[in-house]
Amino acid sequence: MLVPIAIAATTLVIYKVVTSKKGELTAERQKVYDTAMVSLADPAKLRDLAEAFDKEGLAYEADMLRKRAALREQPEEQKVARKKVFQDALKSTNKTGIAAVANAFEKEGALGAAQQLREYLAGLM
Amino acid sequence: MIKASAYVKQGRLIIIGVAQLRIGPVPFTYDCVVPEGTPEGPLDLNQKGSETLEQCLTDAEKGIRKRIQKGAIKVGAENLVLRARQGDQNALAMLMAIRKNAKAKVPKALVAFKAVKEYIEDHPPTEDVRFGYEIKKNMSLALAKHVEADTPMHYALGVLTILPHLDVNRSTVLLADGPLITKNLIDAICKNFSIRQSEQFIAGFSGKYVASKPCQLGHVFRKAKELQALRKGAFHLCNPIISYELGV
Repeated sequence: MLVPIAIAATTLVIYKVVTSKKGELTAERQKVYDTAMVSLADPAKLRDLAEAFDKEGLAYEADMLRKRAALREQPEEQKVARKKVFQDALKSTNKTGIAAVANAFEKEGALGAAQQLREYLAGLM
Repeated sequence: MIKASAYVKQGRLIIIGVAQLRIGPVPFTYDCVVPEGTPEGPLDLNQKGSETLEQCLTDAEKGIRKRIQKGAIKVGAENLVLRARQGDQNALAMLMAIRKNAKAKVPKALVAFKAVKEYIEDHPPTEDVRFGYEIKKNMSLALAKHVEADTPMHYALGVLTILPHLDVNRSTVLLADGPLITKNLIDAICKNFSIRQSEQFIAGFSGKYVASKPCQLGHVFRKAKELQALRKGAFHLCNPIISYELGV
């Protein structure tokens, strides 16, 4: 008799914890998201993670993860153009321009490229 | 002008003094054995003594001149390092000349180069020196000019003198804007270090972490080399994350 009561009580606690964190970007989730955005380079895994974030009510993070997953699947001309913009920015001394390119890369989920550009920007006199 | 005082104690002649030279005061000391029976106590260098003591003083004069010359080179070397650290191009050029002549085994240059190295080791650049932004800017400019130097040795010397004053990002960009970071260049820089420092520099350059200045310098060179590779489009060689993001 006691065992079913204990199981029911535990289930209730877990349910409460999960539902209370729905839509909330906890420190743990933030860490998972940040790591994935700067170091995960597998579109399938990124999409799986995006789905998990979606289920937890974190639409913005899910969207960014999907954008990152899609980076590899862009048309060839677009890839060439993006590469050229990135290389040109790394040779440029136009601070405003470099910052704009970094922001654009960040918005499409390319945080590594954005970070590289910002470090370069910080090193310009 | 030389000011000195001398005395005899326990059978030795001891001379302490200072030479006022154009580059500043150069202190010196000298001691040698005196003939038996020489009375102890202060000695007037202007008064004539016994013949044997006179010989002793003549030798002392030669010895003191050599020491002053060495001392002057040391003071000059210290001044050069201090000026170079503040971005003085002439001082850097003179340091380069010393380095070059020392390699060619010119005796004076060997002494000067040793003095430069000793001074740098004993007085490493510190972050708490308040030069201000303008000075940092000057140093950046000095290094920027320096990285255009035609030989890796000159380049390495400039880098080692100036780089510790700059932050990582600034140093990275300056180095990346300079000559291609090749194995020859890295070898040349290593030659300016002791074996241990050289190992630490290589560790930093290879991406390993060792808490030391040479390692930090190696780390900056690694970042600069990466920036050069990214500019050339060799994304896959240096940064797999950026490579993925750019669809390479």
